Amino acid sequence: MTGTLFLFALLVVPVLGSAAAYLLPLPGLDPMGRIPVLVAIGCISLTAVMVLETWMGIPWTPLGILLPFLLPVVGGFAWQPRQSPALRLARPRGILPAAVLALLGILLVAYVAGSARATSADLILFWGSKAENFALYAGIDVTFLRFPSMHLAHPDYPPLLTLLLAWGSLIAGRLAWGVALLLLPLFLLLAGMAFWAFARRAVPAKRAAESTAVLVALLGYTLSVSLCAGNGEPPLLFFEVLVFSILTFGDGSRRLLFLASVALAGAVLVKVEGAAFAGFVILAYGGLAFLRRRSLTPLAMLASVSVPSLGLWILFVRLHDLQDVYGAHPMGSFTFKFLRSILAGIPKSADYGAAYAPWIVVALLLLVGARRRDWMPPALVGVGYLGFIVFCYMHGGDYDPTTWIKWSADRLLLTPLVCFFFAATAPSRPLQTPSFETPRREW
Amino acid sequence: MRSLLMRRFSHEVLAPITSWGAALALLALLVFHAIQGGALKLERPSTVLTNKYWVQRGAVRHLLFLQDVEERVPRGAAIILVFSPATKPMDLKINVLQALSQFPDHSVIPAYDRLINPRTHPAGAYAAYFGGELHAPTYELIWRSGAGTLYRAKR
Repeated sequence: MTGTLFLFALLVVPVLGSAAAYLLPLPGLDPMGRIPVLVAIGCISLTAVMVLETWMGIPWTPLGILLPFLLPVVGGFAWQPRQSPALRLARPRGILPAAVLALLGILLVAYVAGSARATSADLILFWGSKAENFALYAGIDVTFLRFPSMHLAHPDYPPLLTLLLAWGSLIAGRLAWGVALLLLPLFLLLAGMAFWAFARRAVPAKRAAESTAVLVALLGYTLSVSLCAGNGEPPLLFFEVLVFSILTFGDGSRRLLFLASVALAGAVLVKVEGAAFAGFVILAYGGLAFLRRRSLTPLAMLASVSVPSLGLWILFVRLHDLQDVYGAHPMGSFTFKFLRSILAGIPKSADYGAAYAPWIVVALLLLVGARRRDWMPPALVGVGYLGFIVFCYMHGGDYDPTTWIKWSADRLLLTPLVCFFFAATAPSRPLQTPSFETPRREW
Repeated sequence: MRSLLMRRFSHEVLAPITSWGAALALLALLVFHAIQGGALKLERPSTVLTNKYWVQRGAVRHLLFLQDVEERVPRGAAIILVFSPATKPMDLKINVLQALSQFPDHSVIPAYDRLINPRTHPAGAYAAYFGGELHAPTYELIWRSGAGTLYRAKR
C-alpha cells in the first residue's frame, strides 16, 4: 500500500505541473513532449511550494501543498499568456524497431534498478533519510540538518529530489524505498520522451527514433553501472537532456529559451553540479548568440528562471546557517598538489567497466554523422564541465582525492557524456520548422 | 560529386548502422551488468542494497539488523546506537546516517559502549548494538541475532 500511494504521489507531479503551467508562456508541444515538460515544471513548482511553506512556518500537509497550485489555475482565468496550440506533426514512419529497442532498454533498466542492482548508497545515507525525516517533521527540518553526522550528507544540498521523495512519503506515510529506486527508469523514460519529441522536429523521424534508442541505452547502461538508482543523477540527466533537446532541436524562439531556463532551474535544484552545468550552458549558448548576433536576449532568457532559483536556495541555506558546499571548500583548500593523480584517476573511472564503450559510441556517432549545425555549444559545455570536474577534485587540501574520484567521478562524467552525445546528434541542416507560426530565432 | 556521395553514404548507411550497433552493444552490456549483480529472479530484494557489488554488500547486514530492531521498538522511543570504541569515526557517521534512514519515527542517539550513561538518556530508551554486546547493568537484553543485540533500559 505504501508503495502504491508513493507511486500515486509521483504520478500527481505532472498534474501539478500542468496547473503551474497555466501562467507560463509555453511553446506548442506534442503530447510526447508535453509530458516531460510538465513533469519538469511540476517538480520545480512542488519544490518551490515546499521550500516557501517551510520558510513561512506553514507545516506541510497534502492539502496545504496542493492548494497553492489552484492559484495559477484561478489566476489563469484573469490573465493568461497567449498559449501556443498543440503541435501537430506528421505521423512518424519506420520508427517501430527503434521504439521497441528503446522500450526494451527502459524495461531492462527498470528490472536492474528494481532488483537493487543499481542502488546508490547515497539513497540510504542522505536522500532517503532526509526525505523521511522532512515528511515526518512536515517541513525542512533545519535542526536535523545541523546534526553532526549530517555533515556527510551536505546540509545545504539542493532540495528537489529530497522534496520529491518527501512529498511521496507525506502521501504514503513512509518512504517507499523500492519505488524510490524506480525513479531511475522513470526519469530515463522522460529523458527519452523529451529527446524524441524535440529531435523529430528537426531530423527525420526514423533518425530521431534511432538516436533516442542510443540515448536510452547509453544512459541506461552508464546510470546502472555507476549505481545511480535513488541518487540525484537520474533527475539531473533528465533535466540536462531536456535542456539540450530544446536548444539543439528547438526553433530557437523566446518561448523555447524560457522553457530551457525552466529545465536549467531543475538541474540547479537537483544537484550542486547542476549549477555548474547551468553556468556553462548559459555562457556557451548566450555567449555564441552574442558573438553571432550581438544579442543578449538568449543569455537573459536562459538565466531568467535558473539563476533566481539558485539564488533563492542559497538565500534559504544562508539564512538558516546551513552552508556547506555553497560555503566554499567542504573538503579542503585549493591545491595543485594532487593534479597528477587527479588526471590519472578520472580517466580510470571513465571506462564504465566496459573498456570506455560509452565514449567510443559517442565518438563513432560524432565521426559518422553528417555536417552539423549546432554541434559546438554542447561540445563547449562538455569541455567546460570536464574542466570543472578537475577543478572540484583540486579542492581536497591535503587529502589525496583518489578515493573521492573512485567514489564519484563516473557519475560526474555522465554530464559531459550527454553533452558530447548532443554534439553528435545535432541536426545537419537548418530547421524547417513545422510549427504553427514562424518564430523569431533568438539562438 | 564524390564527396556528396560519400556524405550520403555516411548519413544514410553508416549512421543508422552505428546507431543500431551502439544501442544493441550497450543493452548487451546492461544485461551483463544485471547478471553480475546476482541471479536473475523476479522477487523483491531484502533491502535496497542487496546485490553482489562490494560497495553495497557491507551495508546490507547492518540494514537488515536495523530493520529487525525497528520492528521491535515502539514508535517514538529513543534508540541508542552503541558503538565499540574501535569504530572508526567515518564508519560511525555512516552507520548513524543509515540508522536515521531506518528510524524516522525514533530519536537516534549514538554512543560508545563504555560511555553509556542511562541518566543522560531518555526514559524507556532502547540500545541497539550492531556486532557487539553491551555490559551495562541498567540495560536488559530483549533480543539477540547473529548480527547484534537489542536492550531496553531497566525501569
